[in-house]
Amino acid sequence: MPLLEVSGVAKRFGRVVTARDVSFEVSAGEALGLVGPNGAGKTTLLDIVAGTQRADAGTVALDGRDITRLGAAARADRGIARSYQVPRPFGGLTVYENALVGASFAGRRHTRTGPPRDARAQAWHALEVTGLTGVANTPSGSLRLLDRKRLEVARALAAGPRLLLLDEIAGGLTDRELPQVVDLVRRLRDDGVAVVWIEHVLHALLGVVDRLMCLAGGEVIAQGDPHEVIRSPQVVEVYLGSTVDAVDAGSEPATEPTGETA
Amino acid sequence: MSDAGAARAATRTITRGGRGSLAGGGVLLVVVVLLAAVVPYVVTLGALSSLVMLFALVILGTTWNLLAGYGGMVSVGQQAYVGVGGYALIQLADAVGAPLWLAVPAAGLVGAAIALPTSYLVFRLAGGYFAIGTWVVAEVFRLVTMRIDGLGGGTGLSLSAFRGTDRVERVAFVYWFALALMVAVVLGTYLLMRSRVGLGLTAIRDDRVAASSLGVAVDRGRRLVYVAGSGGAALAGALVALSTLGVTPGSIYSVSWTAAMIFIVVVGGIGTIEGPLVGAVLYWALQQALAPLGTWYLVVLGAVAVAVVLLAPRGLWGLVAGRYQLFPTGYRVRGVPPGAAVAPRADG
Repeated sequence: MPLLEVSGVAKRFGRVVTARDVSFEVSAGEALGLVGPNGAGKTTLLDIVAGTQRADAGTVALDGRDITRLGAAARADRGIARSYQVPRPFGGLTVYENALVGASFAGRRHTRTGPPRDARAQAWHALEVTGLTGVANTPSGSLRLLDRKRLEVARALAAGPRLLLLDEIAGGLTDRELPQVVDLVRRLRDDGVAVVWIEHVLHALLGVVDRLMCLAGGEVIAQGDPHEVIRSPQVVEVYLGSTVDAVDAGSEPATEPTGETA
Repeated sequence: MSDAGAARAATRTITRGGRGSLAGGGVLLVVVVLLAAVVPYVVTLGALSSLVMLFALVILGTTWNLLAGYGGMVSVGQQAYVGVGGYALIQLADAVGAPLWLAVPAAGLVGAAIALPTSYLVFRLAGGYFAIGTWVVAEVFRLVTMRIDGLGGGTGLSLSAFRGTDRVERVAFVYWFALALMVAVVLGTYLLMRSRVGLGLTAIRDDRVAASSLGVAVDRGRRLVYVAGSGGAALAGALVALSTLGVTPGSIYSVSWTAAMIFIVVVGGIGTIEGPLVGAVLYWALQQALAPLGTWYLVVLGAVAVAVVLLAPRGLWGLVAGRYQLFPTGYRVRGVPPGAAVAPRADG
């Protein structure tokens, strides 16, 4: 049984449709990539799964239980964690304390998977794997953008999620850092975490994900094997052919800027 | 501590405060002991009564700081609960006949109990609307109180529970009682903010959406703060009524209570436990020193507020907060030199 089941989700803001009959599934230990042009409705979809926005129609189920009507905090309790594309640090708290919030509050409903958690150790571990230990005592409000983006990932990891939703975490990373992020996500997936990852840096994404879903205008235009999806005519069309070049370039460094967040 | 934790502890420790805050705590303890054991025997009864007002101001500042500094709720209507506390005390003591040591905390609970349903009303508003809305609620409280004949209508009530008590005995009781309550409120606030709940409240203040997606129950947290903060205001109101032996709707429901709270918190340092203490002492000292000047008192108060906000935007305590912390609520990770990050970090 898939861990996350989204079926028939629809959402519109006035006349702008950001989701139209979107359905997909993710299993534990599986990574799903989410691509699509700007405004395709990718972040809205994460909002709907995480519970920060309500869908107009459709259902979201976690572990076979309908969570459509639950708020964001209750979903975090059940093991959903996310990062925000535009970082939202708790500016008055230090980096370590930010991670500690995730470690102390989220995920209390699914501790059956392991021994009682030591929140402090878990927060520290999240800083270790994201490379933020050196700024542990720094007020997060004074971090550089790149470190704020790392903190987004660290906080979500500290929550110890079963389902991790990542929103553009690779933009702006150097050639040396990019493989580390890819490794990190791959390790999480191999540990049994279900991952949904929105990313414009395609070769990072394609290094991890088991399946790829492409959204355009709020609709799923392709879903399935990553390399097939990226070469499918519909996807090539919405990307104006640029995706094929990016994939063919293979290991070439990402020249893509941080885009919307920069 | 688990094995893994013990192994890691060799390289780093997570501390809360240190020798500095222990020393600061010691100084505070000495101040409290002096206030309790020495001051009552060396100052006049009038001075003792004015110190009771200082203790009430500390409670007001501390609880408003809880609302605005930790809960992110700028209420301009806390005088509603000051009033409720004052009236509740007199009713509980005189009409119900409860002993005073019980009636004062009970009056605080009455304030908290009334704040709970009120929160459902005012939480529908945000930001500036919340501020105005709470003020409107306070005015409604005052007008309703004045309509009830049993509460003395427009003239208010006087406390008769002390009738027949010796004046020295009365002032001494009120003084020690107020001191004890102040210590309890400050300590309680500190312990709350140090706890897991306090961490969640700070997260709510900084970013409500992010807090909720990390599992912090935002609505419940804000409600807890509003109810606790309002209970504190009611407690202060009860102390004021106890000390002045009565209430009038015009003064106990006066918006100047909230103005005092805002001054105390903003000038002292918002979002810290120490700030309201500093602010309350300053406010009280100015009040004592400038009382003979009449209206000039308000002019000076305003000038002080403007000067502090311009010169020390984080309040007076904010000037030293980086170096000293009497009440450490945060966490420091020690034993990790800067730059000891496991993964290399990008430059620029």
